[in-house]
Amino acid sequence: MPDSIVRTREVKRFYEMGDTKVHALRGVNLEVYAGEYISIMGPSGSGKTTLFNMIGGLDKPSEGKVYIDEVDVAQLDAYELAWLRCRKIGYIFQTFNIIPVMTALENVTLPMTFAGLTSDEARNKGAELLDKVGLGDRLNHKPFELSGGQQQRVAIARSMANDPAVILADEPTGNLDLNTGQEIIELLKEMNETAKVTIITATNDMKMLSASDRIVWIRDGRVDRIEKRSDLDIDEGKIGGVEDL
Amino acid sequence: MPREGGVVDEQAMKGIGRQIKLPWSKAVEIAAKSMKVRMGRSVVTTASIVLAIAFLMSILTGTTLTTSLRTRPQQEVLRVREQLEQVEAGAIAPFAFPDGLSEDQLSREISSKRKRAEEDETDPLVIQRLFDEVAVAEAARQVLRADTDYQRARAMLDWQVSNARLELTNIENEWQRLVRRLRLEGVTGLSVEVTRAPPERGYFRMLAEEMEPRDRWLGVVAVMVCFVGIWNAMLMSVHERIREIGTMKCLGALEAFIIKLYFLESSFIGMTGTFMGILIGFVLSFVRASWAFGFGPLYSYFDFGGALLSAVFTLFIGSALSVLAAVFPAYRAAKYDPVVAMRVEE
Ligand SMILES: Nc1ncnc2c1ncn2[C@@H]1O[C@H](COP(=O)(O)OP(=O)(O)OP(=O)(O)O)[C@@H](O)[C@H]1O
Ligand SMILES: [Mg+2]
Repeated sequence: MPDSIVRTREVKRFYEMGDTKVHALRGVNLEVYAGEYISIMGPSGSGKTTLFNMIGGLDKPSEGKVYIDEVDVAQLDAYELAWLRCRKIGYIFQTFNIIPVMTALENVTLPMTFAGLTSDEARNKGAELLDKVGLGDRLNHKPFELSGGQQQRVAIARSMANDPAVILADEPTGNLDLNTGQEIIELLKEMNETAKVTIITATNDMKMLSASDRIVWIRDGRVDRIEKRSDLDIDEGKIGGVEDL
Repeated sequence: MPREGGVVDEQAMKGIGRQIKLPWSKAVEIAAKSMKVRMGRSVVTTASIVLAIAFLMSILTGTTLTTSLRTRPQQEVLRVREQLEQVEAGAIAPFAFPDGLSEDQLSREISSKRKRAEEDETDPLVIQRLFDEVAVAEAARQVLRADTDYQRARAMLDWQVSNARLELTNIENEWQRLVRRLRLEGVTGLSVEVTRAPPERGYFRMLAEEMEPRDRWLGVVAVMVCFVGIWNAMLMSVHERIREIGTMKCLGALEAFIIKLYFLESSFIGMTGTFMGILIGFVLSFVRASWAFGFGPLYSYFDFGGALLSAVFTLFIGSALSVLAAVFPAYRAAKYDPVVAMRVEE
């Protein structure tokens, strides 16, 4: 059996809103293996982002446990959490979240700086990564000089900065048009294959599923079902369970 | 945090590390970058600090300058008066007799000055000075005319005394003119007659005793304006960067690092503003004071130590304010939950 890199056990997350309790997650059990490309599908409000925040160590479950590389995230202190976010996990966001005052290269080298690399090491590695995502000639461009797709490429390069074990991408194509979105998915798949980094993405869009090894359907804060790529008829663009959405 | 033994071992085995603290130099680098880009807004914030600090500085310097104008000439009068006594007693001869004087020239000087004093002048201060100058010239003529060493020595003593009198007259006249100007400017409690030495006291004692109540109040307001200005600027800066802070945390920034960033930014803005404010405040109050009292006396009685202390004191207040005003915003930025930060729409 392959190593599990992310494991959740009965993860619940609820928010107290006055008298009412909003249940964002109602007990999620999920195991992600090293090197997988996983897509999490689900309607808006189903709890995808909440689950990502749990896995990414940004938020703690109300109940249940999240293990990253078999380490219980809830047990980590602030320094260990920062270390985890810096080196084990790469984050990619729907809104790119490139730091606007920094160039593409500076954005990519920032996590390396946090990890303690010297400026020279960081610069070389950053340039290499940007080259890999096809922005080798845009190192010193500011975010506002880049298109959305290019910004997301910078974000991908940045997420790879410290050779993470997992990349968490919450709707990475949500703000992009279809073609650009597919390019981004392809790039993620490429990273997944060449760098063996585990990729977990969330999406609303069927067309973005083609790269996935497995698809996790979540609904109303629970895992509805999990499908393997082999179960899917992706080429036709018809995927089982569309009607359920 | 209590942990079960097994969990610790497991985690150690899996190798979760602890995030390193970055050196200040990295924080400086990143803070400088973000300030350079946000220069426009920084300038506006800095401007309000510049104004407040300039105001404070000009109040302090103004008090220092006025005080030095009303105390230093008095000290000078007393010094010259003492000098005159010593010259009269023959104890010292501070004036050097000039070379190349001719009797003719001196005689002409004597008659013209006497004529001016008797016929043209109306200002008693000027008349007094003219008569003193005539006395100096007459004594000098006696020195030139002396036949014997004894006569020459007597004449030299006269010459020294009349010079010392002239100096005293000059300094007393200057003091009288200053008193008039100071009174015009609303400075009270001044006497033309210098009877005793003005108090010797430290800078802060001087401020406490000499500062006008109105100025004291305005100074406090300036300090408050400065404080609120920096506070507000830093809060704005945090607010418009909530996402950026969240992103940095996702990338592995420690809270301490975020705090460093905001402290640096605030200190930099505070320092720049303070330095500029000190400079502007000083120039303004100096120009104003020389307008009121004349550049000459202001320059000759300039209290360098006092001006320096005013600058240092203002610098201290400016820096303390920029650090204090950054505490809350920086803390708030550092504590911002990244989940909440990322939910913020921009
Ligand atoms: N801070 C919060 N306070 C209260 N309720 C919250 C909070 N965060 C999330 N929720 C609720 O939790 C549920 C899941 O939200 P979540 O953002 O995870 O959905 P999602 O699947 O990511 O949706 P989308 O596809 O629109 O991004 C929603 O009903 C939301 O209203
Ligand atoms: Mg979401």
